[in-house]
Amino acid sequence: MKKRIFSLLAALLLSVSLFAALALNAAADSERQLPLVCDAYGLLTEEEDEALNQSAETYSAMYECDIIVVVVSDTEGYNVEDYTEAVYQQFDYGWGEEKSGVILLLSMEERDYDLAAYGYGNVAFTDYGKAWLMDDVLPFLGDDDWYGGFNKYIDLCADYLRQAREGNPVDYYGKDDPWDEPVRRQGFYVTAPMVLMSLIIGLIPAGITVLVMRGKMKSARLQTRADSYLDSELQLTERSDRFLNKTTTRVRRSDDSGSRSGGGHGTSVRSSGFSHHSGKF
Amino acid sequence: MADRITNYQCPACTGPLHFDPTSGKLVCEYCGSSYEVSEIEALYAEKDEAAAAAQAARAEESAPEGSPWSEAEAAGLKVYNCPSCGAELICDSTTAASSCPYCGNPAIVPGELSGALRPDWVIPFKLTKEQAIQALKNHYRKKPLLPRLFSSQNHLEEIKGVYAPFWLCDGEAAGTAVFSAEKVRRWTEGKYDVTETSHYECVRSGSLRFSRIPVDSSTKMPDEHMDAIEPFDYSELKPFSTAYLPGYMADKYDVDAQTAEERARKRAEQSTVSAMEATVTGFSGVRTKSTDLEYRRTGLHYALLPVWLLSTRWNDRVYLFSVNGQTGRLVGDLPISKGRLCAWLFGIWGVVAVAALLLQAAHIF
Repeated sequence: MKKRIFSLLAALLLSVSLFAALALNAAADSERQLPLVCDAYGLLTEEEDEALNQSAETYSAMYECDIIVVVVSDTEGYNVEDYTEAVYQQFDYGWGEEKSGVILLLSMEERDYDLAAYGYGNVAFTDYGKAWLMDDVLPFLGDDDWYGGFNKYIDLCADYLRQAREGNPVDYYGKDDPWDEPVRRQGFYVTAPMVLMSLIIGLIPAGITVLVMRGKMKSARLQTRADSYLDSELQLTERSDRFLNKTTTRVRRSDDSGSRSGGGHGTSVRSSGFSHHSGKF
Repeated sequence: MADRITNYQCPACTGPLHFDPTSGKLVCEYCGSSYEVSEIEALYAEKDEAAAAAQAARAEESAPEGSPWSEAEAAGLKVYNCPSCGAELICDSTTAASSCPYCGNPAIVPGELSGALRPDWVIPFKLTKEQAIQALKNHYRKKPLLPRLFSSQNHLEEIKGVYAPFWLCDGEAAGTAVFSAEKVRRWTEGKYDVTETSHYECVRSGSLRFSRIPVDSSTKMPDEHMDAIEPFDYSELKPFSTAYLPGYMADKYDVDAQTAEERARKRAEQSTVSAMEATVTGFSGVRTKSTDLEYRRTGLHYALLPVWLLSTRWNDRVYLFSVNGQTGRLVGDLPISKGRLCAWLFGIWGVVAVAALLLQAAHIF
């Protein structure tokens, strides 16, 4: 019953234009307006909802960073990332002064998801970390195993936050294959690829310097041109540029819409203060 | 039979005169008198002619039907008497001016620089021997790969000021060059990067005139050295006079004009193609497809140009350096210390590699 009330409340609040509720936002201070797991679409049973909320509350308090799940029917025509930001801000999610949190929003009609982080969430949930997390969660969502998916999500968030609090946020630390297990930051360490890379990096300036030095030792060379002895300007009697043909090549751009953003590390934070990872489930 | 060679004597004390590059005058080492080149020229004009005539007459006697520079003669040696001490001087047949190894007096071989062999121009030495040696010392500086012992252990084996014979070739290169050129445009179409390359054929016909391209005309002088000490400042070209020669060596040419002109032609054509290529503008890539050029001689001059030759010996190898006697430009290949080369290579490699490794290990990049 409690679940139904929450769902109704959530549906009501979300259907109101989110961008016109600034006053509401200002009025609400530390009091959370919605539960951390807010299923406005009715995917979860009451027991599931309670269990998830309980673990989310526990971990959020433990790591001082809200772990949030919001399920809505649609995004009212807004881009899923903008909508997530609006939900986060309008319903005053976020822990402490920093308003730290991580939010998974599902829009059921388009089957869009967005994983966004704010405040300390941006430290714990790097771009690579977000992609990695969703890789573990998406199989559950794809099978419509909502409880399994959200449970996995909350557990992983807790794990990520623990590692971040220990100073080693989950991130891409230069392993050869970004699809491999992410390397957890372990402070100072040396790997074979690093040594190989260093040797290659070192050889370039060393080789160039020595070649330049060697070049300075040889100065006797035959001249191939006579530019110093010109007696006139070039007198052109014919000058024609004839078009022959045109060739066109088309190369497919590297796909940047993949679910993982391997390669770099760190978190790409928007000017709004949020970082996102979104896609379809 | 030994021929007699002449030298310029001081009109005041009859001591031998030397050309002094600093003042541009002929100077007597003994009494200190100095004379303008033109004064001595006038004084010796008659004497020179008489000596040359005598030399020519003797040459005809010994080779009555051959040309003055038959092959046999070019390969042979000539024997002269020093006018000062009477010693017998053995020179090779291309030597036109030298100095006596016994008394050090400058000597000019008559006949070698007269008639058809008389150069049109000469650029007198401007750089003294000391300046040439200094130029070599400067050349050793800032050469990290030079063996440390090279500059300290080696000593100058020989240093000589030589008036090197050059052909100065005037000519015109004319013809057509065909270039293939490209214009590239890039844009994106949906998920594709599109590159469109337009190909053009650019034809340029025209001509370019050259004046006095110098070509080393002595086989004794290495071409790479004579090319690399270019350019000479032609504004200081003087009508030839043997009065500039005392105190220096001088050679006469032994590379004929046609062979020399072949080198001038190649250089002129290369420059012409480059000048034509420079007019193919507005393209992102230009390549020479074909050239059809003709070189036409418009003039040919024979000149003696001043060169200091310095040779040093180190580890049983002779290192030759040439210094432009007018501009001071020095060329010459230096030995490379393998140890130093390896030290620099591995030193820089090691330092950069360790730095890169530390930065990677600390996750700075």
